[in-house]
Amino acid sequence: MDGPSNRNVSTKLLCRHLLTLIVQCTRHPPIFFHPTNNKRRILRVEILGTVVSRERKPSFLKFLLDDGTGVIPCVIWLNQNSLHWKFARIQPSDLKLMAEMAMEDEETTVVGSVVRVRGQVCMYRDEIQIKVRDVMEERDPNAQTLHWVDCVRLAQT
Amino acid sequence: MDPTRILSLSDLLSHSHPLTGAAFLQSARHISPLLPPPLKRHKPNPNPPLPSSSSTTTTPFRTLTPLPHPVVLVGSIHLPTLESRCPCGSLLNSCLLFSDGTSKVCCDLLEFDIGVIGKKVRILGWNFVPFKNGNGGVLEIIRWEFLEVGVEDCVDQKVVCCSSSFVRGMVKSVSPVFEVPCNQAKCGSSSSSVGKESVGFIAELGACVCAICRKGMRQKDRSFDGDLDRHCFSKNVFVYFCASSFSWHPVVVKLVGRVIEVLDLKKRNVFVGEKEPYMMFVGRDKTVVSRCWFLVPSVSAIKRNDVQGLNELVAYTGVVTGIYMKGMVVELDEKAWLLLTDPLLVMPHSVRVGALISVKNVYMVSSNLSWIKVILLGGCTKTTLDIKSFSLFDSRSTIVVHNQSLLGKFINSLIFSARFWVLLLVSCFTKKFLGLFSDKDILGSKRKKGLAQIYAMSRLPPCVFRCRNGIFMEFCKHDDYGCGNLQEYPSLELVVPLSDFFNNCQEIRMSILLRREDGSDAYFIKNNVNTLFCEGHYYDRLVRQFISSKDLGVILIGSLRNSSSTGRMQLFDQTGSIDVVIPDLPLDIDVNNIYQVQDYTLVIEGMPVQKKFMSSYGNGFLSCRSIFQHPLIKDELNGLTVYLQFSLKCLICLDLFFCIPVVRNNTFLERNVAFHLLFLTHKFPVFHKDDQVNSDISSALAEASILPYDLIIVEENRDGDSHCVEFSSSGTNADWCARRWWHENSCSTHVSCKPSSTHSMHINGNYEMKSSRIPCILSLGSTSFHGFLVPRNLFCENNKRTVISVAGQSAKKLMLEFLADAHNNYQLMHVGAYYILKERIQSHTACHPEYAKSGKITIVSRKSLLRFSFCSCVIGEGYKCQHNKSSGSSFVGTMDKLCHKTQNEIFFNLLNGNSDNHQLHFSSQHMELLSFIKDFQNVRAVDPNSLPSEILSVTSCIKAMKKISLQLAGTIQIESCLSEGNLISLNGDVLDVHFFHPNYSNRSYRDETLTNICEGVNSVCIHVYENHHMIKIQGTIAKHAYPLGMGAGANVTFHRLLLKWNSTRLCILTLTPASFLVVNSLKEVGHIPKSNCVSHLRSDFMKEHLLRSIQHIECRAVRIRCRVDQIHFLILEKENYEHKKRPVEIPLAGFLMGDGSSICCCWADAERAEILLRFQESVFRSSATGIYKRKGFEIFSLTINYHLNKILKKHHAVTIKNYRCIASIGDPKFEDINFSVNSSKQFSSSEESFLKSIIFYACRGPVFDLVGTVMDLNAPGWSRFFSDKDAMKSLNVQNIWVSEVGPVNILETTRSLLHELLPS
Repeated sequence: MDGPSNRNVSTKLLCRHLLTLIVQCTRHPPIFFHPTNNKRRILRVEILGTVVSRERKPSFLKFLLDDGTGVIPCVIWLNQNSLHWKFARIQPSDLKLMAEMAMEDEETTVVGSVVRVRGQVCMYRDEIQIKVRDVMEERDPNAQTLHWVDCVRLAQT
Repeated sequence: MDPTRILSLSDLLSHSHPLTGAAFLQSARHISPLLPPPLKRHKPNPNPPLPSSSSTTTTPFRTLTPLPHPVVLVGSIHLPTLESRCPCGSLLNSCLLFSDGTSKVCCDLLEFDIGVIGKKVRILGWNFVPFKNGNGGVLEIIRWEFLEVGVEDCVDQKVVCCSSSFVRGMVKSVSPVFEVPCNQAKCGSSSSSVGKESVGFIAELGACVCAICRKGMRQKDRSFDGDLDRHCFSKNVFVYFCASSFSWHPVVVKLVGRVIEVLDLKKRNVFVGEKEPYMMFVGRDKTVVSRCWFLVPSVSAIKRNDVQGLNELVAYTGVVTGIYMKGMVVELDEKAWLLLTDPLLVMPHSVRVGALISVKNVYMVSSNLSWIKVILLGGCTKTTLDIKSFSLFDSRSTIVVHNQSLLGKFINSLIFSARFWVLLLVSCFTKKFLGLFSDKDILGSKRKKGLAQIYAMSRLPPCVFRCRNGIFMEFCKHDDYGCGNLQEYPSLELVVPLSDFFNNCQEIRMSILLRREDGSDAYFIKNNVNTLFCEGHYYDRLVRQFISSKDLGVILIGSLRNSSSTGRMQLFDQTGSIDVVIPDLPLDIDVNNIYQVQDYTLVIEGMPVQKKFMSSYGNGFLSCRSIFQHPLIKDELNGLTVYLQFSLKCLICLDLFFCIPVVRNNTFLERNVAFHLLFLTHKFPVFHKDDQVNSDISSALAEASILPYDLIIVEENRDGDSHCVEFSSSGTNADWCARRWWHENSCSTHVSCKPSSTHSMHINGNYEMKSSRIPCILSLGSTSFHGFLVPRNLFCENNKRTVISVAGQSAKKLMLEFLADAHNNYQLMHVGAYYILKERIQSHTACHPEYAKSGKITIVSRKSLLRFSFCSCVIGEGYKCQHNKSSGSSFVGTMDKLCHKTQNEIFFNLLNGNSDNHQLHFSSQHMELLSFIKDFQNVRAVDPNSLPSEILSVTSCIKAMKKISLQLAGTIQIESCLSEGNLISLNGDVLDVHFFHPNYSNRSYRDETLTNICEGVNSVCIHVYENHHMIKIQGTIAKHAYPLGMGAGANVTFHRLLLKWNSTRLCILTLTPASFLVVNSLKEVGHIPKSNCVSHLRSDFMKEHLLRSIQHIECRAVRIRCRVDQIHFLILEKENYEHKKRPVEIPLAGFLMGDGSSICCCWADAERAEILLRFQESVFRSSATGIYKRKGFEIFSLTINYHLNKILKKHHAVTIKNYRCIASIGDPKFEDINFSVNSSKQFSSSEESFLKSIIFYACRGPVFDLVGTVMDLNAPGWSRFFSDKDAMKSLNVQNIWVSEVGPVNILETTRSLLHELLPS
């Protein structure tokens, strides 16, 4: 089933698959397809790995996530409070809430920690990166194995 | 055309008949009072609501009698003076006067021109309405003209203008005329004015502060006209018109919103509030008011009057559709209620039903009533009324003289919404208790509080009371001391007259039908819910509905009685009655008291009726109009049965509250007299001696067995104290006393109670009185009596009386006949319960041969019987009782059932429960007695062949019938004209009851209503089921034997059914004339669930509603591992049970969840929803509650519980919908979340932020392991909740009802998945 809802689901992917996504650049933003199933469109992903690098800028946090199959750059935007013009429809209190959540994600993202990241796939300077929606720390070391198994299993379906 | 005639006022007054002289007016603007002059800000309804047409119950008003020819009046209009006030005599009623030299009369006129004062005018169109007391009347001037041409403003141009004696400004508000007690030595400059200064009024003017006005330039100055834009009426100035100047009141009232000039004033410093002086202009005898025609206030200047918000001063123009409570309540446009309770506020004479009036400076408040929402307009000291169009109806003016009784003062000490509630209450109490109490008792007097006030004071929270100040304070400092400071308080419930309540049940049923016709019928038709098929015929099924008192929001007050015609217990007042079912009502309840019932369940049952056959009052449920109006005539309810069910604890006696001397039922058991102990074995249906169904019940019969023991209450008094001791767990004195009683009376007792095979008693040992008696304590609630159980024969022997030979034979069977007065006892007695026959059986009666022979006792008094249960006590442990299982052990459990009844089941009967809390205790040494009684009860000592001791279930009954059929299989059937069989008792759930006529077997009975068929004796077929087994009972039943609640959904015990077999050896169950039906409990049947039944009542979300819809789940179990992606539907309700850990209840929550490859919609409730919402995490993350954190709360208080409790306490329930999230999965968006609350209170932004943070936080949760079942979203019921169902469909996802949720066992899951993936 690839209806409008499932198209938007956060697909569990390995970094290797992410880095080899089929990119259709004829449109903006580009459209991504699964490397093993070119009919499956990928918009949002869920990845799990270790934070190996962390770069904090005033308006965003960029970190690299390594899941053993590859390394993918991820970005957490922290500029919600300064972009009122962009979020004109959103109430200030909601923006504050979003900013607080982003700050919490930023605090969770510590180098060496294993985190589960959900976000949107996008291209930046011809590189695939993840625009992070949320970050959750995984304390169970087996979670990474389960994620691998899930990704393999889901890739087969 | 007839020539115009001139009528003198004296002729008009002598006629004293309502007349209109406006019939010949040709002007389009003034021809009819029903076509009011065009108004600027009010668009009157072209068809003004007529009170006579809107309600059939209102007294229809006639129109005023038109004169057959044109008639004019000629005279002059004057201001009222102290000497020539309004002829109605009211000091505070200031109205203009019209006189023509022959007489004078109160008048009011349209299109008021200040120049008319004192001038001769010709009245072209007018109405004359005499007062009800016949003393004068009011002349309503519709059209007039000056008699003299060229008249000018009445202001004398020679008046010297100076800044100190001249005010120009826009009239903002005017106070009513009031009296001020004044010191004669200080006030009044001249001797002639002494004593007159006490009357006056205050006007608030918005004075202009421009340079021109400050100089006091008059309108004649030429430079003045060109500077109109400079005027700004911003400076508030108060003018106190006292002494003779008070006569300007009717003029100034009509000029509210206009610019006037007031000449010849004094400036005075007035101390208002005792702190700072207030500059005020004070009127003199020669004070003159004139209007500035050239100055029209700008829109900004009058903006204040246009604020249409709650708790603000507003202006309202509307048609008077009702005047109630002696003019204190005025209904406008059938929707707004104007309160004029302030004694100073005098309603103008022309405010009559049908008039178009304009109310200015009135508070708009919302009524905080529990059952209805109306707009209230609260009249305060600034409120003024002006007539815009006179009424053509002959609705006589009432001269309202406010008598400041205690009740009046009490009402005025309340905020507006509470005032309105009290007025409704007073109206209800007057109707309810008229005849029982005098008006003075109900309303009170100047010195004594009435019932209405006492009751209202007990119900109102303290926050509704407000401190009243003097009129100067309230008028001049209105913002601080006025009526605008309103506080929130719980909704007020009203005590309604029972006739109103009863009649409004029809409205409730109408709303149910309307709901059903809204589209839910498809469900009923599809599921065949409303028809029953039996033996080739279709029958309509009963529809029964429960409505909780919380949903109705009304309280009932009345006394209890047994209906003389039906014998049923009723709650009644002076207006009507309603049947009630009180499962735990004790026998000794005093029916003469006045009781309040606040927590009850209203049961409405009847056959389905189409809406078109039902009548409606059209006012809605318990409209305020119906409450204020006179009692309605009781209508038939079209086959509707209406009654109440509640438990005893909900019955609150109000006698002490109302200061009525209570006659307590303390005339108890006499000393040293034997009382029989009875065991009730059967109750016979009531019958009528004259065989007329509508006649009063004459008598009723019951069958009982006398226990072989009698009870004697002794009166020993060794220490000079009574033997009546108080039972108390902490009362050491009582313990000591009881122990002593046991010890001293048990040592010498050697009684062996052993039932023999013939159930007689063998008494071994000493036959003396002391040795044979068994000490016992009878506890009656908090009081206890010491006494003995004595074998009946021994007592008689010892007293040397004629003996009823009991020993050696089985217990005596006895018939109890209840006469009309004792019918209460019959209704409240339960088969299988023990009773003390309180009436002393006189020796000659008890031992009368007739009594011994016939075994019949006639119960005359309603207090003849006392229910009790046996209980054995362990001595020395403070009366820890071991209840006899057969006589009261299940009482506690049953009470729990009553208290925590399920939403769709109510109880009618306490099985084996002793609600009276009357127990007969005896020592554990006499446990043999208990076993004897138990054996005695099981056998019942009656004819063992005909009456099995146990009540059969449907299953066991079917087994018994099969057994009998098998036994009869080999026998030769003997034809007999008499019925043959066994009498049994059966208990089961009634699936349905339908009536049939044996002679019309081919006829359909779908059109027969229960009422029609229930008259007289009818053939009835009852379907009883249990555990998928059904059994039919057929037979005839009389109307009076048909118990309340009998029908589908009832759990019924059938006593003495005849299990008979016919020639084909087929066993059938039939009703006999002696069969007695007891309804134990009721369930709702075939109705639309509760939340939608009464649309205008409270609409709390009903969990049952949802659960019923979810029954259509396909039973396909699934297990998924997923994370919450979005929450698109969530209901949070306040938890009713305090013992629950969490204050919130989640009836339903919808989560969009993803497992990494697809999305599904998971529905969950209660704890499962809490886990998914991450409520289980004890402390909410600070980031999620940042909005509260900044307010300085401690971190431990930042729990979800705390905030949710706060929100739900305010709103009761919050529904969150986020359907559009479906289109944006993955990107949580706040702007699409829709919140709705179940209260009229404002949903604040902080509350919204908090709930959003909950949603956001839940969407970032861990992976959950879910177990659930696949649901069908097309099942009926869902559409009721999800208006955006199309969105759900377009989502095209699987819907899963979550049954289990928990964390993922990662290791195990990984292993199992690896095993699946690895090639085997």
